[in-house]
Amino acid sequence: MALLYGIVAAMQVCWLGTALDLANQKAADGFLSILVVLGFYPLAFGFHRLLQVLPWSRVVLPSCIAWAVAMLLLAKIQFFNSVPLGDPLWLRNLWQAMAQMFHTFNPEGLMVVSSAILWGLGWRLAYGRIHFATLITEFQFGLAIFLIVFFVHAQGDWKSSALVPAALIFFSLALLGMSVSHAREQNSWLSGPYKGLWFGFLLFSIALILTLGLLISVAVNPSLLDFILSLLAKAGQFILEMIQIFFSFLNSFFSPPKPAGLPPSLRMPQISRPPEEIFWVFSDSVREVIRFIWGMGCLTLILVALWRIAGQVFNWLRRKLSGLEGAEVEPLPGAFREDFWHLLRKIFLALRIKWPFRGGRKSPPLLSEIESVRRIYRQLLKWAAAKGCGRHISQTPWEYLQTLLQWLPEGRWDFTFITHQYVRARYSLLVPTEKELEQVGRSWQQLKQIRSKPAAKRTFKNRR
Amino acid sequence: MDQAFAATAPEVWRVKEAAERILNNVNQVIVGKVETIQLVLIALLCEGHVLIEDVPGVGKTLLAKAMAKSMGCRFKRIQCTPDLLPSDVTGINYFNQKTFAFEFRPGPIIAQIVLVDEINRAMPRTQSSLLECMQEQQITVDLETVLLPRPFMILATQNPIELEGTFPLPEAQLDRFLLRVRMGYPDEGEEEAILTRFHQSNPLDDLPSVLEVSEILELQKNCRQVYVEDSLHRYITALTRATRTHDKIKLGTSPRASLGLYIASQARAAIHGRNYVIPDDVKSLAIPILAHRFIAKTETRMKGQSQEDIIKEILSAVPVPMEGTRRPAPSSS
Repeated sequence: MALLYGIVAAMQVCWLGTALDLANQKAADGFLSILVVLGFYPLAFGFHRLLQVLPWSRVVLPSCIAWAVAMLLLAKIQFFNSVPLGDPLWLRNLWQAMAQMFHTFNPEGLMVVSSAILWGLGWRLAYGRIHFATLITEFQFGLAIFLIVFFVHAQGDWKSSALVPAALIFFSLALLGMSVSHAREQNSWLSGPYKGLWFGFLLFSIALILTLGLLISVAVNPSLLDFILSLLAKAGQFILEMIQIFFSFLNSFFSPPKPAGLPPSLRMPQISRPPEEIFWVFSDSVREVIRFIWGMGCLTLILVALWRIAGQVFNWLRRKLSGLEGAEVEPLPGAFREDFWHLLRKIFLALRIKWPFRGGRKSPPLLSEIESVRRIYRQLLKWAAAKGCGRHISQTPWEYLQTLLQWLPEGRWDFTFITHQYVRARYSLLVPTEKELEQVGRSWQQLKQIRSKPAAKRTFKNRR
Repeated sequence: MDQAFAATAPEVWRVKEAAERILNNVNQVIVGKVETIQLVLIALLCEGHVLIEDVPGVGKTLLAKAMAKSMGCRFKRIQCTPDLLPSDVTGINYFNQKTFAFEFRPGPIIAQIVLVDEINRAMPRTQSSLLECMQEQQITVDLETVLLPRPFMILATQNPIELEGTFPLPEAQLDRFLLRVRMGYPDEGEEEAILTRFHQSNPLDDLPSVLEVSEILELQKNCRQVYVEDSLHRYITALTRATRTHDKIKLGTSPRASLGLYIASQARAAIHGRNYVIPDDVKSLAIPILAHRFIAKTETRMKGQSQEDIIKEILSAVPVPMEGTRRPAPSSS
């Protein structure tokens, strides 16, 4: 497990280090010490490992304070080394530089943002569990960042000698991490009869992939690419000539019209043209299109990576919350999509563009009172199912009520009241009154209390 | 329970109150069978027709007569026999020698409640003469179309046991019956009550009328105002579509069945004093409305599985739209 933690940390350091290196050249002309900034990562990890015994809510404040202190210390050392620590001048200057961060990308801003990101990553690593899916997500996200960095590097005039080695290390670590985590989860062939040789296989796989990569990179050089492109150009020219010959052959069947009464043309001096060199180059417009496609691809990858990370964060939150006693976690399938569509619609409207997706059946929005009753009934269903009295898909609310009454006769009145209110809220246009809503809530609490009494131990078999 | 909680519109309360009146009145003649009487009433409120199918002597004809009498409608009876002709049902144009002109003599079908007794004893061509009047509520005699009075309802009875000398109803005819109901034998207490009630005189003779014709028309209109939530539309469609893909069914139900189930659910909700339909309405009516409208495969019939059993299978497979149900499964098999 320690190995996996190390791999994830190293992968993150790889992509973050290269991105920081580029940003450092742009914002601070390489003034900021990247290695020192990267030191935030192990610092955050160690700090949060120490605080792991505390509940989550009590970690946030100390963590923020620790980050602020460390960041200030770093700023002091990096930018205001000559100013005494007690002098408030350096604090004021730092504050002014941070205030300008939104207008210009300065070294102080880079330091604040990068230290915050590294602190957050270290925090996340300290609390996270590393498994195969984590490695895959890290790899996807890191790959997206590397693509962007390579793109920026190719477009700009920055020079980074560490970019290629960092990418190679990242790929190697990703391969190693994924293999190890896969093998740990007993899902791979490595858990089969050859498991004793897994490390040998692993090294062999990595070596094979890297060797192939190197061979390809050696073989595919610019001269080879030029040769292939010139071959393609010659083939294209040959086809064009064939087409021209064919059309001139067709043209020969028609005699050209004779110009009558025109003066004889002057003979122009013949200018010999230099022979054209055949060299395949893309025109600027094609390059622009390719650049645009490349940019869109990178953007898509970033969005996909962000989506995956956000999904995992939500899943993690849901797991955490559902573990708490008394908490009721309700999945909202399609809620994010709906919100996203709503946002897009708003943007379209703001830009005065007609929203193109008007089709589909639209259900009327639910009133909050109706939604409350429905939510409580959902909770009731979930609760009863968890206790062993699940509903069959073909049971109506009234049929299910009979099942519930057999299971828990003490809750007769409350079950009946909630079912009545639910049926009315679900299938009619009637809105429950405030009093009824309160009573539904009380009945639901009452039911939970009845069931939690230790004496009421029953067995129930759902015959459906 | 519904009275305590369900808030209902006045129109719907009127339907409920009228239904209770009829139920109490018919119960003076028919002992028990509340559900059967309710189903006939639902058919009346939906302007549909009822096929009462059961063994002889359980009160099919008596129920039809009692219903007709309770509603104060013009009642006629057709006793189907193998030699019954279509003109005996619809009426004929005959030559009046006194006036030297053809005159129309209306058949028994021109009434408001028509009891077609032992319908499967009539020949197919005579049965077919009922098709137009059941769907269009009109008859055509010698190129002349005669509109039938409203409300119009056919209560047909048939005996499923005796098959000799009978002609099974064609699918087109069966599909025009909104409901098929079965009376069933009375239980012990009910049978004793029948003996007590009928030992001196027939209570049908003194049965009063408790509903006016105009009132019935208004109640029919009120029933159509009952709200049906969107997901229940899909549930009804899923049920009828399931009959078309079920592996034990050769020919599934028609869209007329979906429509019948829809409006009958509205009527049932109104009878129970609700101005909205709930899944229980749909489920409780699925067997009377759907079971007679499809053709089961031969092997299914040979195994002794009835059409009701197949509908029960479908009902237990199609998810009811409510919380915790994700999709309205289209197929039942």
